[in-house]
Amino acid sequence: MNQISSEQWTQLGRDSFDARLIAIIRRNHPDQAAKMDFAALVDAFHRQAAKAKHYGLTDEHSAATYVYTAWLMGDEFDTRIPAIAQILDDKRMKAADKAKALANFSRLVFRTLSGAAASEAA
Amino acid sequence: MSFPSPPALGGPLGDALAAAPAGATQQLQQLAAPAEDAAAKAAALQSQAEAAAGAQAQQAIATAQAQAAQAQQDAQAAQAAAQQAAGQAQADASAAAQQAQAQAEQAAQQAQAQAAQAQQDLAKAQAQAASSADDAAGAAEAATANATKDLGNQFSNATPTGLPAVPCACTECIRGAVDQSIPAVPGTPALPPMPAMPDMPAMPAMPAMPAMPALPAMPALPALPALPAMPAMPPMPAMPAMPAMPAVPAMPATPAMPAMDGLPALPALPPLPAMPAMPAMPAMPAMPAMPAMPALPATPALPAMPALPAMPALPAMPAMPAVPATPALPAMPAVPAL
Repeated sequence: MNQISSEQWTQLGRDSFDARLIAIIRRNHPDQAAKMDFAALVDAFHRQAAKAKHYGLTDEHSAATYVYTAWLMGDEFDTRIPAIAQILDDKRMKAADKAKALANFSRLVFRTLSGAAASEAA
Repeated sequence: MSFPSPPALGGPLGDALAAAPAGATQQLQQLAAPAEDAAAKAAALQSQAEAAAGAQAQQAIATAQAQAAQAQQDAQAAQAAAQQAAGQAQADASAAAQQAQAQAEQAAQQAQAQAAQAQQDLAKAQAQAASSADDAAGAAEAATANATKDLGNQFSNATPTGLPAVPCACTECIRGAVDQSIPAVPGTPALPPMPAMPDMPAMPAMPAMPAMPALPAMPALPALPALPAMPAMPPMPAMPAMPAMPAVPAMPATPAMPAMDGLPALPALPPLPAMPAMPAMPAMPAMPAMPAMPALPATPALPAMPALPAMPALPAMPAMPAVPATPALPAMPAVPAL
C-alpha cells in the first residue's frame, strides 16, 4: 500500500491552500495578477499564514482571509494599522470574528479610496 | 497611517492610493483608528460595511432612475420634434419636407425605445438592490467583495490550516478552485521528459553446457578397527560396616490403673401384680368319627436279585524309595540385643 510522509502531506496542504488562494486572486484581480511573481508571492503567503496562526487564525478560512488582506494591504498591515492591530491582538475574539472584521475593513478602505464614501457624504 | 507596497503584497492598495480622491485620507485615518476595545471596533466596521452596502444599493437605484428620466425626456423631445416636422410637412408637401418628417418619426421611435429600455434598467437595478446589496461601486471594492465571497466558498472555517482540500462528491469544488495555468508547486521547475530508452540488443544464444564427467566410483570404506577390549571393572570396594544400632531404652512401667468404683446396688424391683386368671377355655366339640379307609390291594412279591460276579485281586504296591538325608542348616547369626 502506498503511503505518503507527513512532510508530503504538509506540502500537499500548502499547495492546495496556495492554489485556491491564487485562483481567487487571479479571478477577481486580473490586472494585478498579471504582474505577480508567483514564487515571491507563495513565499510571502507562507510567511503571512504563519503570522495568521500566531493571531489565532488557525482554520483555513480565517487564515486565507488574513493572507488575502495582507496581499491587499501590504506586508506589515497587522502592525501598521492600529485598528487591525487592536482586533488581531485581542485574545477573547474568535477567529471568525477577526476574519469578518478584516474583510469589512478591506472593503471599506477600497470604498473610501474609490470616492464612493465621499460622494455619499456630499 | 502609511501603506507599504512591496513587490508581492500591497499592490492593490498602492494602485488605489494613486487614484484616491483628496478627501480620502481623513476618512482612512478614522477607519484605521482603534476603538475602546477590539469588539467595539469590529462592531463599528460591521455596521459601516452594512451601511455602505445599503448606500450602494440606493445609489444604484438613483442612478437608474436618473437614466430613466433622461431617456423619457429625450423621448418626449423627439416626439415633439416629430410632431413639428409632421405639421411642416402638411403645410409644405415638398419632397424635402416629407423626408424630414420621416426622419423625425424615426427619431421619435428610437427615443421611445430608449425610454422603454431605461425603464427596464431601472426595474432591474431595483431588483438587484433588493436581492443583493453587495454590488460594489468601485472596481477594487467589487473585486474585494467578490473575493471575500470566494474565500467563504472555497475555504472551510472548520478545517485546520495546512490540510489538503478533500473534494466532495461533486468533484467540482477543487476543479473550479484550482487554476490549471498555475504550477502545482510554484517555484519548482518541471522535470524534463525522460529520453526514450534504446532498444535492448538481443541476447546471444547461450552455449550448450558440456556433459558432466561420470562420477568416479566411491572407494570402499576401510574396515573399522576392532574395538579394544573393555578393561575389567575393578572390584567394588567393600561397603563399610554399618554402625551398630543403639540399644532401645526399656519402656517405663505403665502405672497401675486406679481401681474402679463399685457400681451402686440396683434397687429391688417392686413385685409384679398378679396376673388375672385366664378364663376357662370352652370345651372342644368332639370330632366326628373318620370313615374307615378302604383296604389297600396286596403288593406283588419282588423278583430275586441275580448274584454279583467276584472282584479281581488288586496288584501289590511297589516299595517307596528311601528319602535322602536333609543337610544340616548353617547356624543362624546371633541377633544383636535390642
